[in-house]
Amino acid sequence: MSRLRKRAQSEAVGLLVIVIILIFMGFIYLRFSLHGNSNDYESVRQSIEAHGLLRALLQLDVKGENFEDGVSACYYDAAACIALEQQIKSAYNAALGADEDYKLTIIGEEKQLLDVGGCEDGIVSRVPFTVEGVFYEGKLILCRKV
Amino acid sequence: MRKERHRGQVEINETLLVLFIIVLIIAIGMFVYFRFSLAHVQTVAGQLSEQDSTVLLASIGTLPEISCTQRDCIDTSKLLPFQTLLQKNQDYYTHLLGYKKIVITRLYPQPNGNDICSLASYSQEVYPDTCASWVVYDHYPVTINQKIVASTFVSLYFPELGEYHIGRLEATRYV
Repeated sequence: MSRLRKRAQSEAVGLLVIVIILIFMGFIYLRFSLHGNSNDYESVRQSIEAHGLLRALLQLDVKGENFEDGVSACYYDAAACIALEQQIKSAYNAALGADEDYKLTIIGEEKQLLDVGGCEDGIVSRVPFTVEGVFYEGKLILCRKV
Repeated sequence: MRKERHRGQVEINETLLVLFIIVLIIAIGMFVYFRFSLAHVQTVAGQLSEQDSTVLLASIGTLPEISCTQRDCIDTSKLLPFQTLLQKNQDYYTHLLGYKKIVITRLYPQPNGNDICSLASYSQEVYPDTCASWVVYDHYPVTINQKIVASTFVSLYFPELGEYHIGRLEATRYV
């Protein structure tokens, strides 16, 4: 009887040790599985980049040609949009790298004035602006070329 | 009696062996845990560096020493005086900015040259046609283990021309 009791105690201690080891391993697993992979700062930086590029374009003023005035001219006269589109292409080709692409959409009073570029999905930035009482919105998408 | 004593010794040896294996498993587990903890600390350090770069990119353009007063842009006429100001107040700016290199580059319209803008180029009649970039700040440690680069686009104002161009602000963090 004493022998059987000792055996039972040994078995119980063995089971307890296994449980403790399993809890310890579970703790290690939880410790590292709860830390997600953080690419938050990368997407924040890309957002800052997209916003900066769109704002810089909207403020572009070279040799007396102001970009926002060009948008206003495009709103009233479709022929003026051609020169504006060319300016956008030149600016973004100079600013972006070979592996980067963009899509710039300008909407004036819910009417799409321009849609330049090839990105469909990427980091999006929107900047509203007003010229002579007309509300416009510029939307820029930055992405990597496939 | 002898048989029981022998059996007792065997059981004691078994218990000792089991205890030894348990301690070994726990020791291995602790070793693995602390190795992963160390790797995690290094990851956090990297993330803090990225955070620092991100905050710098968002805030550097708003420094009153170089930013435009009325618009969201960088006033290029303030960049060269800022370099002089840096030399006079080195302690303040190295404390504020740390080990970094901040460069502003003209992108569009493209400049006619690739020169780094300096006081000498500023006094030339062709300014700013030929100068392409400004090294706004450069403070590096004795040994550089790693360089972390982050950049964004900025609007550059040229008061001499009354024009706004597109530029790139690049911040290199030395680790």
